Amino acid sequence: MTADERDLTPEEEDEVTRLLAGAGGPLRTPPDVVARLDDVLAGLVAERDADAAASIPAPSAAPASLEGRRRRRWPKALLAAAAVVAGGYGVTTALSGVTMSGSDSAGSADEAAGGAGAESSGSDAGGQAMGDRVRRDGADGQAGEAPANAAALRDQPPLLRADHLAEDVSRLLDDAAQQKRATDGPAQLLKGTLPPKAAACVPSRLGPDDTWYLVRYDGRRAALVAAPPDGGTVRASVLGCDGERLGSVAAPAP
Amino acid sequence: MNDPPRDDHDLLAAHVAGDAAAFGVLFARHRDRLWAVALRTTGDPEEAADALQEAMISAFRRAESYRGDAAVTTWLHRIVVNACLDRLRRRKVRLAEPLPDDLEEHLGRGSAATATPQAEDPADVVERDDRRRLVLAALDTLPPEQRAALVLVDMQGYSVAEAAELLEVATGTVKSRCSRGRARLLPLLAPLRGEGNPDTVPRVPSTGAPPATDPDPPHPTSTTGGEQP
Repeated sequence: MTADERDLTPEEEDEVTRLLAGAGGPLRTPPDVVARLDDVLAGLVAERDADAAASIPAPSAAPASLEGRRRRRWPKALLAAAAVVAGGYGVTTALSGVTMSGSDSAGSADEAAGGAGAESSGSDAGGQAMGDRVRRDGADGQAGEAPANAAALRDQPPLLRADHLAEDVSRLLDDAAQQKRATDGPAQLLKGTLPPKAAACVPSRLGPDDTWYLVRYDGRRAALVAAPPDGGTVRASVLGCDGERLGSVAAPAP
Repeated sequence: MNDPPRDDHDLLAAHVAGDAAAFGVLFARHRDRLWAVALRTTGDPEEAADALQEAMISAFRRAESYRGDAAVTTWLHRIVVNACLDRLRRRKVRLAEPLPDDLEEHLGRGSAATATPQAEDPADVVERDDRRRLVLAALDTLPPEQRAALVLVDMQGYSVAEAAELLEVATGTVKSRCSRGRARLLPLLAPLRGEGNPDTVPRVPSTGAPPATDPDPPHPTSTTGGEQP
């Protein structure tokens, strides 16, 4: 037994206990942590709602069109959000002209911290916060005009589950590809704007042809970064807003 | 007419049954205490926030595993403590810096409830914060299991039996961890016992040495709560 592990006298033990108690007492959770927890909780609730909706069987007599199957797997609200994300959040560095490779993870973490603070007010006035837009000119965001689909942007981004990552990523990429075909394609993104939450979760490193999407991964905000298809496969990584790699998967190319 | 507030069991049951708001109410009810445990156990606000978030996700998803043989708050605390301990164990290399400068800021945000006088002398505030910082720095040198036991018993006011239930070990294990932890803390807290000047106390955590592994293997427990999430 070392000197500092000898048995204490009752008086010594009481004294240490008293000092610890003096440093204890109630604490209030800091507002930024509360906001972060609320944000994650909202994601969890949305995720559960989505799971519940997805488990509702479709009418058996209905024709099993592709769109029908898609809608059964993706509840309406999520489909809307996915479409918006595919069309509005999906960004290729080549098109946006934003060079990301100069950023480091610390910067990304700082952005994430700022985002959490923004979300604090967002939870109280989400419409207002999400109505504001950040135009990405270079590395700095500036307030821009609200797009017409601002209401849809208030919906949750696509949800990815760690235990169904391949399935969820495949679905997201399918929907993104379909959205791309149905619209003028990602060229629109040249003038696209990012909502503040997305700006706070921009991946710090992107390959020249990578595409990324704002998602929720097990309840937390994250970015899905997809490499260009290679041999019928797309390698995709989920990155937390602090730059941490949360997961990766190889999904079939859409 | 207002509905009476639902108790913890009702809220958890409602959550399992699909009530979208129930878990939020339940978690918010205990959040500050859970935060205090997380912050004092990890000694780092970022780590504490991550652990609390991890625990919340786990509790949300695994609420069905709650069997009701412990209080809901015990169950929640257990999940948080486990998340903190997991994080501490995973932390292979302790940071070389002392505790973050803003730790007291985090601590101070909640300390109003500790009966601090409104018009306290700023010098007293500084002194109290110094003392608190030193205690937390000393705690940070302990093995995670000893730290968790002392946080629960000496700082959060849980009984040994409650802490044992939370930590899923025997009460003898908690007593042993607390006792050994206090013994280790004694020399580090000497300045606060009037044996020296706090300003001259070496910042023990800044040595970067990882804490020892738990020297107290768990005693066979007779207090397992059962519903480990």
